[in-house]
Amino acid sequence: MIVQFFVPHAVGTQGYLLLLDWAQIVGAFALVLGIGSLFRTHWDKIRRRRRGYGYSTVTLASFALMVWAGIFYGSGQGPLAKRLLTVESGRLFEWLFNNIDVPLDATMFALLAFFIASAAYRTFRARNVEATLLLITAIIVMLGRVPLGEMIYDKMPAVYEWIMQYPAVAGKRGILFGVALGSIATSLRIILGIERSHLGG
Amino acid sequence: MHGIAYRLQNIDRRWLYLIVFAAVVIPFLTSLKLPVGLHSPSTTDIYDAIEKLPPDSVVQLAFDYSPASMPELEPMAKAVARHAFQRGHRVMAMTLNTQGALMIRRVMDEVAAEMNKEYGKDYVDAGFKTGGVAVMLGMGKDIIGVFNDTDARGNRLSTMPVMKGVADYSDIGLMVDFSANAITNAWIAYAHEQYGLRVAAGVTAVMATDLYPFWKSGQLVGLINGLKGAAEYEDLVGAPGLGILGMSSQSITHMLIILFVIIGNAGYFLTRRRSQSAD
Amino acid sequence: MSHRLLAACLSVSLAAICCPAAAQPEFSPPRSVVMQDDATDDEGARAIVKWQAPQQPPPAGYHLAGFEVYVRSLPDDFDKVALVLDATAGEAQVCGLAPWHTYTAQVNSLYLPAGEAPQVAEDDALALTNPKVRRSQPAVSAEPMSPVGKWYNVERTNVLVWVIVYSAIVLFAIYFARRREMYIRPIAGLQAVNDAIGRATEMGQPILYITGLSGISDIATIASMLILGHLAKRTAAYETPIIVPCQDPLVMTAEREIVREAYVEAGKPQNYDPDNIFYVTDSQFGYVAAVDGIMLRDKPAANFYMGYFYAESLILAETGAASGAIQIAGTDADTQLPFFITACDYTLMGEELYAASAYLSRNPLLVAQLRGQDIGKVLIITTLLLGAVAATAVLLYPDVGLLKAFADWFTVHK
Repeated sequence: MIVQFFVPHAVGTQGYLLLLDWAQIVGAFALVLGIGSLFRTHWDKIRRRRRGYGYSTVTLASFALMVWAGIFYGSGQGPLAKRLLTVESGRLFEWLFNNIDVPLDATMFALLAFFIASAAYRTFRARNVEATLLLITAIIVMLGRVPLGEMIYDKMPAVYEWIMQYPAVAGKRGILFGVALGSIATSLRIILGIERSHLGG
Repeated sequence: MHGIAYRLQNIDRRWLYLIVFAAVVIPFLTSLKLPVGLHSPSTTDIYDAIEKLPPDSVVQLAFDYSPASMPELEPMAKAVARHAFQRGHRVMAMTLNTQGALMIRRVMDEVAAEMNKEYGKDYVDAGFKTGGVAVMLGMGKDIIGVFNDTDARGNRLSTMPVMKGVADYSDIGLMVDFSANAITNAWIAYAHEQYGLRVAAGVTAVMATDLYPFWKSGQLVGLINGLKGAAEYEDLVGAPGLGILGMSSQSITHMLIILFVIIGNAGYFLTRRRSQSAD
Repeated sequence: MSHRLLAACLSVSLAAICCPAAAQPEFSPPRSVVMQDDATDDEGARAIVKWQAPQQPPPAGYHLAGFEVYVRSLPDDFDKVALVLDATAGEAQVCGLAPWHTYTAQVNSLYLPAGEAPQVAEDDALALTNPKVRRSQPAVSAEPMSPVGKWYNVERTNVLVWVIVYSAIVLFAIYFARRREMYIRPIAGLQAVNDAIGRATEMGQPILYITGLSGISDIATIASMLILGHLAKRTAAYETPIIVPCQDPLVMTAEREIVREAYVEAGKPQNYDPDNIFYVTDSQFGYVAAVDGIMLRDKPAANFYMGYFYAESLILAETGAASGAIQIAGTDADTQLPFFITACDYTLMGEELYAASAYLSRNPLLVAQLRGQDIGKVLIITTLLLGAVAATAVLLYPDVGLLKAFADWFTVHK
C-alpha cells in the first residue's frame, strides 16, 4: 500500500490489486475453516448434551435453513419455489432476511439505548472538576441533538456545533495522531520481524 | 436521608429499562411530532451540493450498512434518494457490505415507486461487490468493468440509459456513503484523495464524531449526523418520514437520561455529605 | 453475321469502358489519426486518440454521424473501444491500457442517410443498429505508442519525507535500545492484568478474551493478538481456562496458534483445548449476542476487550458489568472509548493498546520503540505549531512567496 501510494505507475496499482485478490482468496478458504470450527463446536455440544446444547441446536438449524434457502430459493425461480412461497418478494432468502435477520439485528442495536441509560445513571458522577466538565458537556451535546434542546435555549444547537467542531475535533485529532504513530511503529516492528508473537513464535 | 441517598444511587436497572422503553414507544404510538429546528451546516452542505449539481448528473449512493444500523440510516438514505430524484438526477446505488444489497432494495424500490422513476432509466441497483478498497480503486478507472457490466438484477449496465456517459468517478457528480463503520474513511482516502471524487457521508451519530475533522478540512462535502441529521434532511426535502417521527422519541429519551444522571448525582452528593458529616 | 456479332461485342465493351456502372459514393475516412499519451494519467493506463474530420464532404444523401475508434496491441486484432456520435468530435479517451504494451489506433467515419439519427444497440453501447450505416475505410495511426506511467508522485514528497524520518527515528531508537534500561509510565489497565488473572484463578472461572471485530489486517487486531500471547502464557501457568470467541476465521486460525504456543512455552501443552478458541459468526450483532450469552451462562471472572470495536462495545461492556466480571478494555476506536471508559474497570486508550506488548514483555527492543514514538510525537507537535504559524502568516501576508511555499509543503496533494 505504501508503494502504491507513492508510485502511481500501473505496476504499483496492478501489484496492489493482485495482492488484494490473493487476500480475498485466502479469506475465502479461511471461511471454510471458520465454518468447520462453528459446526464442530456446536455439534460436539449437542452430541454430548452439554449445558446450553439447545442453543447449539438452534444455531445449526438456522445455519442449515439459511444455506438451503440461499442456494435453492435465493432467486425465487422455478415452479417449486413459486408453489411454496406466498411472500411478496417471491424469494424465501429475502423473506427470511427481511423478517428475521433485520429485526434481530435492529433489536440488538436498539439495546444500546437501554444500556446507555443504565451506564449513564451508574457512572456519570461529578466526582471532580474534570468529571463535572465532562458531565456538563455531555448534557449540552444531548440537548443539542434534539429539537427540545432548541426549545429550552435557542442557541443550544449552535453551542453543540461549536463543541463538535472545535474541542471534540481537537481531542480526536490528538488521539488520531497517537494511533497513527503507534500503528506505523507497530507495523515496522512486525515487518522487520522484531515482533513475532502474533505468529505463535 | 441515608435510605433515600442509597436508593437514589441503586435503582434497579430494570426500572430504568422500562421507563426508557415507554419513552421510546409512546411517542410513536401517539404520533407526537416535534419541530426539527435549525439545520446543521454539515447537513445543509450536502443538500446544497445536490441542488447545485448540473441537470441530469449522476449521484452515487453507497449503502454500506447492515440491518442493525438501518433504523438510523434508512431515513436519511430515503431522503437523499428523494432529493436526487426531485432534482432530476440519475442515481446509481451500490454497496460494499454484503447485507447492504438488500438495504438498497428496501430504499430504492420504495422511493422510486413513490416518485414514478423507472429502473434502468432513472436509477440502477449495481448491488454488492466484494473487494472493498479494490472496488473503490477499480471504480476510479472503469465503473462498469468493476461490476462485470451486470447489475444486481442480472441486466447489462453498459446498455442502460442511466449509465450513459458514466465511465469512472469523473462522471459522478456526488457520492454519498451511508455507513456505520470506518468504510467512509476508506472512501475519502481512496476515492476522494486519489481520484478527486466528491464524497459526502450519512452516518450514525456515534461515527459522526470521527468524521467531523474530514468535513471541517473539506475532504467531505457534508455529513448527515444520525437520526437528527436524517430529520433535518427530510425537513429540507419536504418529505417527513421516520427521521422526523423519531425525533420525539429521541428528545424524550435524551431528557430522561439527563434526569437519570441528575438523580444518580443527587444520590452521590447526599451520600458524600452524609459521610463527610459523619467524619 | 459474324461481323455484326463482333461489332455488337465491341460496342458493349466500349460502353462498359466509357460508361461505367453508377459510381459508388465515396465515404471519406478521418485524417491524421494520432494516438498519444494522456498527460493527466499517472498510471499509464489511458491514452487519447485524436483525428481530424474527413477531407471530403459526405456523399449526397448522407451525413457524417460520428466515428468508431479501435485500438489494438500487437499481435492482437483491433478492438472497438469507443463510439463517438458527434461529427465535430476530434478525440476520444481510451482506458484500460497498460504501459508495458504498444498500441495502434484506427478510426472509421460513420455515415447515415440524411435525416436519420443514429440508433445505439440495446445490448451493446458501441454498436449501431441503423441498417444503412456506412463506414469509411479505416485510418490508422502512423506511430504505435505506449502510455507513460509515472514512477513517482512528486506531489507526495512531503508525506514520503515524514514517513522516512519517523521510521528512521523508530529504527534508531530500537538500535540504541540495548544501551540502557528505559522507563515506561505505569498503565493502570496493564498493571491490572495480573490481578484479573489471579481473580479468575481463585474463583475457578474462565477468562473471556475478545480481539475486536476487525480482520487480521487491522493493526489493532494484531496488537490484541500480541497481548493474547502474553495473557495465554500466564493463564496456562495458572491452569485457568481462556475462552476466545472469534468474529473472523483468519483471526481464529492465528489465535489458535498463539494460544497453543503459549501453552507449550508454559510447559502445559496437554491443557491446550483448541475448542476454546472458536469462530462464532462475522455478523456484528450475531457475534455480540453469542458473546453476551457466554458471559451470562459461563460467567467468566475477567473480561478482556482488546482490538477494534464498533457500536457493540457498550452492549458487551454493560453485559459484562452485569455479570460481575472485572473488565479491562483497550481500543484505538476513539468513538468507542467513552463507552468502555464508562462501563469497564480499566481502559487502554489508543496507542496504549499498541504499547501493551512492550509493556508486558519488557523486551528492550519493544520498549525502545516506544521512545521512538515519543520523539515522533514531539516532531508532530513542532510541525503543528510551525504549520499553524505558517498558515496564519500566509493569511496575514499573502504576497510573501516563501511563506506560501512553506505552508504548501504541509499540504497533501492529489
